[in-house]
Amino acid sequence: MGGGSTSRDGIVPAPETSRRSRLVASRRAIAALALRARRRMRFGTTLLVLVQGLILAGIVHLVAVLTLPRLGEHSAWQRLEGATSLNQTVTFARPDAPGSGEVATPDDFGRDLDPAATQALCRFDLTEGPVRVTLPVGALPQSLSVHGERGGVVYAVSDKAATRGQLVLVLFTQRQLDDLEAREDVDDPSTDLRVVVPGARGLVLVRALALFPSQQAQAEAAVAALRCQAAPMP
Amino acid sequence: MTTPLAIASVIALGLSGGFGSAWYMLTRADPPGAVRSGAWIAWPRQGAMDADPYSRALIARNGLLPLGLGEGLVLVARGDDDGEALSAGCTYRLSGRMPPARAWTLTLTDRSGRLPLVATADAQVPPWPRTGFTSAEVLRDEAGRVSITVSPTLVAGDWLPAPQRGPFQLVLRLYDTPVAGSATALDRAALPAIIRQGCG
Repeated sequence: MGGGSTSRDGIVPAPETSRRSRLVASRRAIAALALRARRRMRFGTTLLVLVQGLILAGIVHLVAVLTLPRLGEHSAWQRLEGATSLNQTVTFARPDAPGSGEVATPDDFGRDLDPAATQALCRFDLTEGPVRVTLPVGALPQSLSVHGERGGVVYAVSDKAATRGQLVLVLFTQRQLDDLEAREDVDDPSTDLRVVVPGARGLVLVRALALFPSQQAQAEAAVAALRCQAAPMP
Repeated sequence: MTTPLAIASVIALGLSGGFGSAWYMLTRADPPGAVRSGAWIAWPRQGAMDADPYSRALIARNGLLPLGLGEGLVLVARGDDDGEALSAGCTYRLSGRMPPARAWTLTLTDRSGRLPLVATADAQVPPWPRTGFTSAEVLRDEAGRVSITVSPTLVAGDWLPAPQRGPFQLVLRLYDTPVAGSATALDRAALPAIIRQGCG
């Protein structure tokens, strides 16, 4: 710095030294300003990145949750696609339930099933036409439910809805039902239980409870009586 | 921060945050719409046509066949009435009246829903150790109340052997019950109490 001094001293410097010191001082000021500006900008950019990242995360999350049922091959219907044909009744129990060895169990299945119950199901596809489901009901508590191709309950009823010892359901797509109702005679209404299945494919599941282990054989026979038949439109 | 770095950060944050939180919601967290009553939790909307997207994704991913609303209601207890998790070494007493239903079953499973290896020898060979009770098998007192004890050692009365290890849960399935339709008003008094009686 030599003979130069800053204006803080209150001493008016000599012309040559003052210019150099002014240059130094101004360079320092610019550097300080630039540093402050850079810090503020870094903070601002980081905040912006965080906010945009969160918004994108929200969108990705929603898309992932909503499309997962469509993408996966893990729903019950899909797991059984290779092992069972359409309208075929398959009887099964939880794989780890006592005494379930006598009944076939599809792989990787049944984590949420009741060990005291025996189940039977049939897969259906309504693209060729409606399907009629019949189940004779007996002494054991039974229930019938319809599940969509991607999972989820479409319809569920207990055997209390049975008429004349049988539960009869006819499954339609919305279009088929509209078509049928348009052509039907209003004075001669059908007494069938009609269920619209969104999405043409799904499965019908019947459960029978064996409240005593000795009722297991009876439960298996009860669910094996499930019948799914194609019922073409008249 | 340079622009390419900023863009890359946004994408990385978005993808990892989005997929990570979706994975967490679908594998670790319980689905929404839970209705609690004492120690018991139920998800009545799982059996309905208008289940929320999380439940639908869970059902699709795990190949589940949930109990429809017209069939019944499933209730799960993972802790006792005090909120302490149900653990293998402790003794619990489940007592009280069951909600009105045509039939019910009570099953002891591990937290993922599998039947546990129970703390008796030879758990792989029939006769199977008991893993639950049904409404037809249980004893009732003069007021119609049940009293089931879960413990590692044999006790008199209705006894469920405790699992060998780990936290467990009790799954109560009510069949053909009016409670399924109005599960938002699960009455505390109608479900049995789970009281821990001692550990070790």
